[in-house]
This record gives sequence, structure tokens and C-alpha cells, in this order.
Amino acid sequence: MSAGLHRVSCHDRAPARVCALRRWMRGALPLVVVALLWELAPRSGLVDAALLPPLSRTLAAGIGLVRSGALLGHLWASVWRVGAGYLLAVLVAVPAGIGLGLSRRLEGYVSPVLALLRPISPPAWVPLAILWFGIGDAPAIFIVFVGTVQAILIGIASTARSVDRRLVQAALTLGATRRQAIRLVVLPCLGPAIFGQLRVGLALAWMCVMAAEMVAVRRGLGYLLIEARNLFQTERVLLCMVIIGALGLGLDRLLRTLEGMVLRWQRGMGADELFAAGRGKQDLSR
Amino acid sequence: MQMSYLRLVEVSKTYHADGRAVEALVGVSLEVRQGEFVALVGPSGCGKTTLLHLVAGLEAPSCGQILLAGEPIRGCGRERTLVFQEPTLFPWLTAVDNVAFGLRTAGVPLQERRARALALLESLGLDGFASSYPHQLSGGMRQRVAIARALAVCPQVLLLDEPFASVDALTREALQEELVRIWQARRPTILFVTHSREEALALADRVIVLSPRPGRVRAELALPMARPRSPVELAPWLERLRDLLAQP
Repeated sequence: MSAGLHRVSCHDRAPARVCALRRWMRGALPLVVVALLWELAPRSGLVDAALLPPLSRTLAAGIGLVRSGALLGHLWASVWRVGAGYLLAVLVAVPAGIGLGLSRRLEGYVSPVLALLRPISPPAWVPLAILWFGIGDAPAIFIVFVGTVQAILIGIASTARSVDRRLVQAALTLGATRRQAIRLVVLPCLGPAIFGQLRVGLALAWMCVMAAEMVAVRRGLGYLLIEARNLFQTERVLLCMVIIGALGLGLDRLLRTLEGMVLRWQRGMGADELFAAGRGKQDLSR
Repeated sequence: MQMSYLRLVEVSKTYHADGRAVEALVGVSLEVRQGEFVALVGPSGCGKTTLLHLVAGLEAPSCGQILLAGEPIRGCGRERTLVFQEPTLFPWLTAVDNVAFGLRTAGVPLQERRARALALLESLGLDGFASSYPHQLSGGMRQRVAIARALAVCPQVLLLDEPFASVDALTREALQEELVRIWQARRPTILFVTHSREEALALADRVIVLSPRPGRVRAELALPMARPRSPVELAPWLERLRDLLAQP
């Protein structure tokens, strides 16, 4: 939505590059303000520097962590757990969600179980995960999985239910089998919605791994965070939080890029290679 | 040609909703010759659409049988394609790929199915719009693409459910002419549902009149005249049809 607004507000005659720069600056400005406040407020004594160390000291702590090589190991541990748990969840939730959305009967069987599991928040799974899997990667991956899988599943099921039935009927009358109708009609209909759910799921996965790492492991960003708190290293705590935010954002961007690629590929099955671009593209609808 | 090709034998359809049974069709029997153009008219809600869906195989009759060339139909099939009241094109596919969809499900290779779809689009005057997406086309053009899509798999039976109801009068006339031209060139058997008496009389070999719900066959009119038919020619028929439809 905001992208659309920006495009409107950008001056018609300005070249695209200038537009992009302006947009970028508009996004960067509040960040600069926050950074300045963060630096100046503790230095001027407005807030206690022990509770909120200035930005420069926080970053210096980061440089120390990077130099010692510890940060990369913690980062990698977190990313790997999110990646594994999330991927498992996606592999289960996407087909199951589509099936659930398309079959009333299946939904009747499964939805009471889902309704019961839904209120159990990811941290509530931590004790069970430790009992089952001990300490290490496995419980964290498990928590990421359970925390993400049902959210994605429910989201996809509800959008699958809203697929235009007439399009499916049209495909069937043209001789499509049930499987073809799902592959050639239901999936393309759901494409954008599925990616929306996947992004919600990824954000959730990233939250889950922090919850898991605060208790069940000795490595990872969540562990780093809780250790820094125990040692009263406020700089480190803040640093970890910044990294968590930035990395979550980065992962979301990655998924958005992937979405753009996949959706374009889906469209690319159109006639564009066969017909010269522009030919027959006139808009006669008005 | 003489033998009936599509036969409906005592076909009934009852829907169940909220524990109530609603009869849509009761004991409909119908015989259609191969290559015949049959129009179905009747008051709204008389089960015309249901009848087409049954023949298309989207739904199964509650009782009775539908036979195509002597064989009972089972589910949907490429030999019976349906054009919906709205174009219901796949919005993520270009016009040519919409038309080629049925061929794709039949496993026809990409180049060949596109060539065939393109030829069909050309014959419907849409060759400049092959790579347009449905939202870039006007309503009439969309319905043309939908008709081309249904024709692309060379169906034996073409089912049309008020296909021209959502376009303006001028487009409607042009589309009617094109439909007759296509029918004369390819000779599919056509079942054409419409609520327009004029349209039914202008196009069909035979007009079947259905009663209000639950739908039964009330009467049929066989029209021997050649096409195009003039309004003067059709006036007495229109009178008769009006009377038939006015009966309670």
C-alpha cells in the first residue's frame, strides 16, 4: 500500500532513479533520527547510560564480538535452526493447508485438533521439547516447527477455501483431471496468498527460535542475548536485538525476492516468448 | 444423423439444503441429434443451468440417465465443453494460453497447442490480442476467448449457458452471428440456454420450453427456416413461444 502511495506522490517528470532515491531517503530519515536520539540521549544524561548505552558503544561491542569470531557462530546457529524448522513446517503446511481448504470432510476431521493446539504459544512447547529432544538444535528446530506449521496451515486453508469454484469447474469441463485442476488452477490462484502466509510464518519462526534459544541451547542469538543479560552487558543485549531485527528483515526480503521470481515464472508460461513484446498489448477495454 | 446422439432419459435433480429438498428438474427427457442446435428457454430458476451442468458432468443426476452416443456419461469430459454465463477465464493466463488450456490438460505440446489456439483466436477476430491478459480485454472479447477455449478441444457437444447475457446488444448480435458461423463450419451439437426468446428463435433448429421450477419439458418448437432469419419470419413463432412461456 505504501509503495503505491509513494509512486503517486513522486513527481511525474522526475526520472525513475531520482524517485527511487527519494523513496529511499524517506525510509532512511526516521532511522537516522532514532540513531541520533539513541546516541545523544544517554550522552547528555537524559537517560541513564547504564540502561541505554549510546549507539556507538553498542556498535563497538559488536565489533569486539565479530573480531573474536563468536558472533558468526551464534548467528549461523540461529539461522540454521530457523531454516530447518521453517522448511519442515512449509513442506507440511502448504500441501496440508491446500488439502484442508479444498476438502470439507478433511477440515471437519482436523479443525478440532487445530483449534485445541492453536492457543498453546511456542514458549509453552519449550519444556516438552527439552524433555523429548534434550539440549541442542533438535528442540529449537522442533519449537520453530510447531510454532510455524499451524499458522501457515490455517492461513493457507482459509485462502484455499476462497478459490473461485467456477474457475475449477471451467478447468474440469475442459478435461482437466482433479490433480491438473489443483496444479493448473488452484495453485496459481493461491500463489500470492501462499507467499503472504509464508512471510507471516517466517517472521513467526524467527520469534520462536529466540524463545527456544533462551533456555534449551548454549549457542545462538537468543542464548547470546540471555547470557548478556546475566552478565549485565546492556550493550550486547541491545546489539543482539538490533541483529535479530535486521536479520528478520533480511530474511523477509529474501522471501519477497523469491516470491517475485516465482510469480513471474508462473506468468512466464504466458505467450511472451512466442509473441514480440508489445504486439497485441493494446488496452481495448475502454 | 437421424438417431439421437445425446439422450436424457427421465432425468431429475434434487438439491438438499438445510434439510429441505429442492427439486430443480423432474423427469426431463430429451433427444438431440448429432450436429443439432437446440435452445433451452424457460423462466429463471427453472433448472436450465442445472441441466447443462448435468450434461457437462459437473453434477450427477439424482435419477435418470444421460447418454452420449449410446454410452452413459461419467463425469466431465473434453467431448462436452461448457461456456459459462460469465467468461470465467484464467486471469493469470494470456488469451492464447486460456484457449490452449484444454489442449494442455490433454498433453498437447506447447508449440502445437499455441498454434492451434492462435488459429482459433484469429478465426474469432482476436489475433491481435493473443498475448493480452483477460483484464485487458473488453467483455465481448472475453466471451469470445471463452468460446474459443471451449472449442479448442474440438468438443462433440458444446454447452452454452446464457453466454451473451452479460454483453451489450451490438456485441451480442455479432457474437450470435459468429456462433452460427462456427456451428455451420464445425457442426458441434449445441445446447444453448438463454432467457431471450428472440435469441433462441434466431439461432436454434429446435427450441425446448421448460416449465417453472421444478423444470419439465413443456413443449418444443422445430424451426425449419434457414439462417439468418428475419424478424418478420420469426414473428408468428415469437407469438407462440410467448404463449407457451406465459402459461402458469
